[in-house]
Amino acid sequence: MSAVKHAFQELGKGIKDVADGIGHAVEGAVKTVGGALTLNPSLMKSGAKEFDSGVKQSVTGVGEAAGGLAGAAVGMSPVGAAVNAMTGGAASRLATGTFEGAASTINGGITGAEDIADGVAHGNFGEVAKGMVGVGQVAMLAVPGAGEGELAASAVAKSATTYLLKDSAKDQLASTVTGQQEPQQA
Amino acid sequence: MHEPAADTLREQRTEIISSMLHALGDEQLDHAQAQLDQLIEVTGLSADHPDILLFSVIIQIQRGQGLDALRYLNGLDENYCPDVRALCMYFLQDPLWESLATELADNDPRAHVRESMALLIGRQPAALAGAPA
Repeated sequence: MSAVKHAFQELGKGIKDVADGIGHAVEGAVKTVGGALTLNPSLMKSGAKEFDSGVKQSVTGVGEAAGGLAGAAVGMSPVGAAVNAMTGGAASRLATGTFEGAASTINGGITGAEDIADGVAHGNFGEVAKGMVGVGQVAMLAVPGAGEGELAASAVAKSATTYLLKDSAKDQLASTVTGQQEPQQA
Repeated sequence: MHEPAADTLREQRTEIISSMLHALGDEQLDHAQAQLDQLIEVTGLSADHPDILLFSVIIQIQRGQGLDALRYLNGLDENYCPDVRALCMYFLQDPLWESLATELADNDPRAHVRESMALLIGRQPAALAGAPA
């Protein structure tokens, strides 16, 4: 009996681990707002201070001193380090003006973005999303509350990521999530 | 040597970016968005420029509207800002964020994408692995 009880306890623990999900794995780096996972603002504040410090310390501008990769990898959670690296790099490029060299590549890299760029320019992703095609079930979902979050993630797995992954990952997706989405053979 | 006008512009950009980052840290998301809008105006960059888009998406994530951000990203070319997309998927707890991040960490031609994605999956980036202690 005790072995069975232990097995159920372990099973319960496993379920709890899954339910806790990402938030459990990176405690402190993320928090939940209205059922949605967000970044702990303290990490952004830390990044802002790094940025300011870099500006003060560097004679030639923010450059490498603006934070980013080197600082990100030390003593931070994976997501904190990644966000630090991404925002530090972007902030540095924007401040120093090194973005200018990449500007010419922007237009060629987007398909159909012209139709929705105005919405983004005004920061209104919701308005933008209303006019979009090709996002399938995701477009019909409301911003998830606590109960809807799992549904949203599931729908994202079914449709949104179809646009993202290479063939091998698509195969994995089909076998693990969407058994009925494989096209029927004639 | 920098021209005075260029230095002034750089200072202006730096101040705006600093203000935006602090606003994000203080959870003043409307102010962060206003600063980002100002940054777009000052730089003349598209709202879809990767370095701008990153902050737009982070603001959306912080508003609890990461799903809207992902919808938008999915409307762009699939090779456009895939790292930002992986980050967005992470916060949406999409179970496939990790496979995308791993793919990018291993194979993306851009070093900064490989590095940030390696960090996201908890791997030490190659750029640091070879660095002296």
